[in-house]
Amino acid sequence: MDSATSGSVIIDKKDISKFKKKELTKYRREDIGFVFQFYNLVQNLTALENVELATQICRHPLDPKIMLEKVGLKDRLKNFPSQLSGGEQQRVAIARAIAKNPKLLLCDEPTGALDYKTGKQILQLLQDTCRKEKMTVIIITHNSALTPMADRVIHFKNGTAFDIQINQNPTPISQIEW
Amino acid sequence: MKTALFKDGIKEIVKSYKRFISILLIVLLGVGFFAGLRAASPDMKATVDQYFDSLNVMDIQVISTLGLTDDDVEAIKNVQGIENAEGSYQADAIVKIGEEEVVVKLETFSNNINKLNLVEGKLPENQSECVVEERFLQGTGHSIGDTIEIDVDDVTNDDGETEKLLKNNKVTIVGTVKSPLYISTERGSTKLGSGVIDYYVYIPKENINIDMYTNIYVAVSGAKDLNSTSNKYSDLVSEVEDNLEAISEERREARYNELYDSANSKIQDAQKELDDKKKDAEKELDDAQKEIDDGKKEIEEGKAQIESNRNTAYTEFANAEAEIENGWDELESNKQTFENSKKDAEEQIAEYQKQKETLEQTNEQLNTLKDNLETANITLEKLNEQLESADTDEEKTAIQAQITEVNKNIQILQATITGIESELKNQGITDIKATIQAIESGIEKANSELSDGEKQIKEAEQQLKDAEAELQSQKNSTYYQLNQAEEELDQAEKDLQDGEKELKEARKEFDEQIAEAEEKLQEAKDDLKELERPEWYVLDRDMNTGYASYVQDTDRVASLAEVFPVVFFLVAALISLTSMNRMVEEERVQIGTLKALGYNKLQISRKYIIYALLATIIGGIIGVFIGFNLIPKIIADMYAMVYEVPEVILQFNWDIATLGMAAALLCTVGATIYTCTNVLRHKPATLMRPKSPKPGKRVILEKIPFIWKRLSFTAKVTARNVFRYKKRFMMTIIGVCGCTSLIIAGFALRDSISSMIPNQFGEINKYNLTISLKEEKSADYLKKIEEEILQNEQITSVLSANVQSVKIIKDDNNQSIQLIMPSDTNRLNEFITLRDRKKQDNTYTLDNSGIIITEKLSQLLNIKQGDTITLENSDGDRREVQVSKITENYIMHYIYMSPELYNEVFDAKIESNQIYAKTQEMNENEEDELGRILLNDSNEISGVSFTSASEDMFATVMDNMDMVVWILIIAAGLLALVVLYNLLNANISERIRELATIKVLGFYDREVYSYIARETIILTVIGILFGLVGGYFLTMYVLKTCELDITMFNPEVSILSYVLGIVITVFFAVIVNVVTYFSLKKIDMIESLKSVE
Repeated sequence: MDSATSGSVIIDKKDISKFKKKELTKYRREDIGFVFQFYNLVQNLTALENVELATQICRHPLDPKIMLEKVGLKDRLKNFPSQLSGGEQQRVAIARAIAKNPKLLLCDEPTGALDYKTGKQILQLLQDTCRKEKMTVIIITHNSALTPMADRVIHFKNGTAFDIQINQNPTPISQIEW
Repeated sequence: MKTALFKDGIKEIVKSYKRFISILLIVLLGVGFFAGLRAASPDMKATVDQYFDSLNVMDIQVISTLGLTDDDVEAIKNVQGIENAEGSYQADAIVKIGEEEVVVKLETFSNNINKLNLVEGKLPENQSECVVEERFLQGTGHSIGDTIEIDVDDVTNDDGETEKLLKNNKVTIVGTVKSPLYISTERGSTKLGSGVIDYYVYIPKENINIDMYTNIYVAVSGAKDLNSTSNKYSDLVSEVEDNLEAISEERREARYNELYDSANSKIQDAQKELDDKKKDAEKELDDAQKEIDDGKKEIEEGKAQIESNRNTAYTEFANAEAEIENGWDELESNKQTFENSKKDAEEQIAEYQKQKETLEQTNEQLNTLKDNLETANITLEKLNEQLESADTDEEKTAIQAQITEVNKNIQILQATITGIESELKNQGITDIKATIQAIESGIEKANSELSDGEKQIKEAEQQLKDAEAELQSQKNSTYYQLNQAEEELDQAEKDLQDGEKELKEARKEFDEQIAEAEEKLQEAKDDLKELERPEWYVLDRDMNTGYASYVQDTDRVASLAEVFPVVFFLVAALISLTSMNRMVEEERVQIGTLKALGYNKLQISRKYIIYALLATIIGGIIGVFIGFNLIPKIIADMYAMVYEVPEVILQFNWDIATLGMAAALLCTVGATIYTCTNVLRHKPATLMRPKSPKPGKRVILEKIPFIWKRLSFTAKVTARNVFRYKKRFMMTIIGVCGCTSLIIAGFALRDSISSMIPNQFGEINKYNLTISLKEEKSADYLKKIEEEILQNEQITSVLSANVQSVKIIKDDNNQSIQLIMPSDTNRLNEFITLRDRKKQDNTYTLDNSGIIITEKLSQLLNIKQGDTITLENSDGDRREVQVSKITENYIMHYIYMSPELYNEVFDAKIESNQIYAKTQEMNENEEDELGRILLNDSNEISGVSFTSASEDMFATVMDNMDMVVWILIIAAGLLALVVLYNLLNANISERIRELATIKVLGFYDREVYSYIARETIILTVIGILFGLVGGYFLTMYVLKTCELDITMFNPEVSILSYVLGIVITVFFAVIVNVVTYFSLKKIDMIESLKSVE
């Protein structure tokens, strides 16, 4: 989405900061799943269709319906985003991201717009996905209360990474409070 | 604060200049079209009004059925409200140009009212000069300075005498003019020649030989200041018309009396003359009769005389004949007597003869005996001598014996002689000779007596014969004389009979002449009795064909103004709505803030309203100027083909400009206010939060699972999006539809108008040449002329026909139409195609079941196939006839009829007066040459005209039409660009988050583009589909509106027009899409996704 002003980003031994626009798009398309703070669902598409929107362009997608079932929205497949609550919308967004079967799941403040309870559910979902689907999940947040649940915590300040911690024993989400 | 808001406003415009320009452009188009089309009619009317004013064209003309006089002119001049009045003389005439004849409208010209617009040369200065219209020179090949001969009917003057109309029939063309009374190509119809007036010719009044006018032209005071199409003008004029009507009663009566008196005194004179003549003639005839009768009597008497003479002669001749007959009878009896006495005489003569013979025999016997005696005597002597001399007795004995012997004989002989002589003595005869002589004289006497008798008889016979001959000759001469007399009498009788016959004839003639004269007199009397009081026709400018049709035709254009701009205004409203909506929505936070700061609604809205206002006013003003200057000119130029008016005056029409602007403002500012009000309803807090995106909705299509299930995922997405934004949907479809329609209409208009000529002169009228004859010709004669014409190599075939001007009488609407009756209906299709426009293979053959009329005529008069219509022929006879077919035709109206049907319907035989000819390809010079040859070769040909001339006349249309097409394409293109650009702009800006999202999801640029473009494409396609239909209807509407009465535009839209409509619309769509592609590429995902915060 953005290019590095300095340094390099190496993922899977590839320096993606040197990718051209098209390569970047291809990379996003095949290897990355995004979850946004404001879900960014397409308003004009139903939950299922929002997931399908993502799956139709990648090579090894997961079944959108199953994904939605997994995030607990079996009954809301045909609802439009405006008919869903924030949490449900975020779950659709997660389903959409996961359904692409990406190598990396990037979540930008996934709980930022959600209330505490829902936020926890979403975090739980993300963690479960990470564990079950063997997917790398990166959560970007201002909420440092969430750090205990991560396997690895990278702190940024003014655009540069200044600290990397590794949690040997991540705290279960149910015990995290904020 | 005000300035801050104002600055904000300006910045806004600069920032979103594209949006601003969109509104501006669409307003420009709408207002431009509206103003231009609306202004065309007033401009054209103003042009003609000014033209008329500059030439002092009459406001009213007065025509009287019995002519007008100087007194009328004076009387009219005194009528209130009249500035000036002037008499004029009009007549239809024939001008001969070499062998050609053209029919002209002859009119006197004036320098006061109805001035002429001098084009070249000068106006006539004396009675031997004239001016003609420009077309006259073009059409006849004459030039200024040529002399023409005008052949015009003599006229009857007020005294009922026939007089020559013109003092000078040979006049010189000194200039060309344009007459304001004939601004259209229509010159009216006439009874002369082909029935159509070709040109007008103006002559000075001095050349008119009689003291009468046919028209009085009137100028109304103050009318010049008014536009003659305005109500004020018609009010003013109709007031004066009323005034004129008021005096007309008196003037008409005066005219009537004048004519009545003059005619009446003439009749009286004529009656007297007739009576005198009758008397004289009768006397003469009677004298002649008497003479004849006398002659007859004389002949009768002569005949009787001859008869009596003949009878007298006859009797006389009969008597004479009887006398002659008696003479003959007497002669016969005398003859008989003579014959008897002749017999006696002859018997006596025979007796005498016998006696004589006997005597002669006796005498002879005697003589013989005497001789013998002599001889014997001689012998005796000799013997005696011998005896004497005898020597011997022997010898003497012998001689003696012999002498004895001889003596014996002598004795015997003497005895015999004596016996005989004695016997004779017994008989009284002494002298035989005397006796014989007596007998002979007796015979002679008897004979002479006999011949005397015979002679007498012969004489008598001769006498009788002479008498007979005389009688005969007398008879002959008498009868000859009589016959002669008779013959003479017969001749006299015959002469008399001839004379009688002559007299009879003379009497008959006299009777006839008298009857005729009496009849004429009676007619004159009847005429006088029937002399109607003259009728006055007070006509204003609207009754001038050229002016009226011009005004009417300009009105048609005005109605175009009601259709074209609607599309633009509608789109303007929609664009303003969407643009403003977006603008307001984009700034809702700011609006919320302002509201929270305490600005009232008006203050906040002002920025947007000013934005819309500025765009509209700038666009509107530009539009008004372009519209006012461009469109009326184009339309006027197109009309200039048909009307002779000066260059159009382009006015700035405030009413129209204001109206157009108001409409535009209503659309744009109205839409803005609507949007602002909608937004400002919300509380500041709501406004400061981002607007919740428009919720997704199921579309109708989803309710039809059959289709929905089959759609691909992307198709479903597109379908949803298409239906999501109704306003945009409408705007795009209307815009694109408008674009396609305009382009189709543009091309179709050009096609229709440009195909009119090739269709009419190539497919319908297949002949290249019309040859008009001086008069109707019989079929045989025509054949000769046709053969003559066909001798020209260039002419391949000919067909003769009767062409006359007829009228269809239907609901007051009487159109003047050419009636064409081909001499050979089977060959008509070789020269003129009669067919169904829609099914062109379906050609018609003219038969006796009905007439065939042209399509436009059927439309104008609402006549359908099978209807019965009333036709009025050139003699004014009206008959009903059935319309059997309606045929394709584009220029002028025609009726086709078979001569047999005409004969049957009008009970009149018609003969051809025109010949259609087909020729080989020829250039202009060759055509001129052929025309000259034809005119020179035949005395029967009065004119030739090539269809190529008509083709040329309309050729200029094409340039104008190309211009129209370009304007429409530019307008359409702008419309499409503005609309589509707006759509895409709106799509992108409103859905930027959605787009950023899918971009983030890994959609390639191409895919992102097609995600958006698919909607545009679908809408464009829908728009085009509507446009195809709309284009058809728009074309039809425009064609019908622009069509003149005498032309029909082919109401067909060719496939090519549709294709061009699609292609060009697609072209514009592609431009917009290319722009979109790059704008999409530029979308910054992070910025876009962030912007929500």
